[in-house]
Amino acid sequence: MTSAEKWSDRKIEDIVANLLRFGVLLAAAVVLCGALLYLMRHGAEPADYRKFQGEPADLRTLPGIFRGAANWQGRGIIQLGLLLLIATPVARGVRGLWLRCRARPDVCSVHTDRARRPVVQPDRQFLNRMREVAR
Amino acid sequence: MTVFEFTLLVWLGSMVAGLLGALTGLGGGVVLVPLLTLFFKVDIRYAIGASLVSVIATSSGAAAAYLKEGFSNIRIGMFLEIATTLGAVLGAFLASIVPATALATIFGSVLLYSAYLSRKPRPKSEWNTPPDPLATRLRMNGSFPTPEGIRHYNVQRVPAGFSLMFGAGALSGLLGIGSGAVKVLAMDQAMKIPFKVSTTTSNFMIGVTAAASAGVYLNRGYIDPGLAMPVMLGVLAGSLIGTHILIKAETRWLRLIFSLVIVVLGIEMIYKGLAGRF
Repeated sequence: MTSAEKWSDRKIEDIVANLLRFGVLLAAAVVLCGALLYLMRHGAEPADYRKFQGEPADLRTLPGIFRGAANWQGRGIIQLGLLLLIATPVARGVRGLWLRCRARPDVCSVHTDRARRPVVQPDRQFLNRMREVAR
Repeated sequence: MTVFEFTLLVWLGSMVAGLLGALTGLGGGVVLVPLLTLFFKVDIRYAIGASLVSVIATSSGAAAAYLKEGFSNIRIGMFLEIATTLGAVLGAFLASIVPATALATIFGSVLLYSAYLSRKPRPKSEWNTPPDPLATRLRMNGSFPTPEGIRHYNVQRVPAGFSLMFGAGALSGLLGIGSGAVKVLAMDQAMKIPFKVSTTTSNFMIGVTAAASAGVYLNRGYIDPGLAMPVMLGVLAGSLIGTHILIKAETRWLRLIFSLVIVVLGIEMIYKGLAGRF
């Protein structure tokens, strides 16, 4: 490995790690806010999760969650924070793949198609070489 | 008990789950699901939803720290994750066809056997394996910090690892838990990757698989904010403590803890399989 390649690997790991940290901290902060509101208002109520009822629509769907959060409802804000938490590993997976393709044009390339969606294409020569080596 | 008391207790329990998850590369669901269903009498569907949240929280919380310290091998992780995700899709499809009870029993027995295999540290003679051409081409070999300095390692048997990861994803899609265990075992036993790298890389990987399922669960209404909130916050706190411990811990203790947790998981699987709870 040349020192230039080593540098970019380390750099990628740093970027992904920072993304993770930021995403998780943000999600945790949002959940904490929601938690404080929720506990202040409902803390003294009895807790019972024995029966499964399914969450109401405004804690399940995206518009419902945003509406609940905008109305300063503790549970809505918590769901928003959970959404951010779920989005974090997905974002870092996509970002990591993207960065790697940019750093190794001989392995794969990224571009956007006409609908502006990202497309990752493995390099054909690279695939053939992998097949040979794996045999 | 009141919501406040419930939240506090679940938070504490989740901290333990997060701590174990960060140390072993597993998702924390092993501790959390039995804790919620047996002790707190939570319905299993809410418990699984909360467990998924805990897996993502452990994974993301720990992964950031491990990446910065240089333990997780991001290349191994991302490459193997392709296999796991494909497997998870297949597993989700097979869920309606395959009798999960039989599968759970077999899986549990495999886990028990693997716990027996992994508890002993690898002899030092096996530490410096020759480089494998495919692994080198994919630039998977790496190094990680030990108290004695930076230690290099070479990855072996990439195709075997890839297939095992596919199986891990399928199992996780079918049974709902256990993918972390198979990942660590595959990396440790089949690909001869150092234990701390296997567990930290597994931590890094499981977040994405769990995120996909969690999205579906949230939409179906299985994730309750009042329950998921203390789980997420507790697990994050626990996993952050866990990462500090792992960096300084001796691998032999980590292997022991991992084996113990796997034994519990194996027994749980066999019990559930035989009792027809799947």
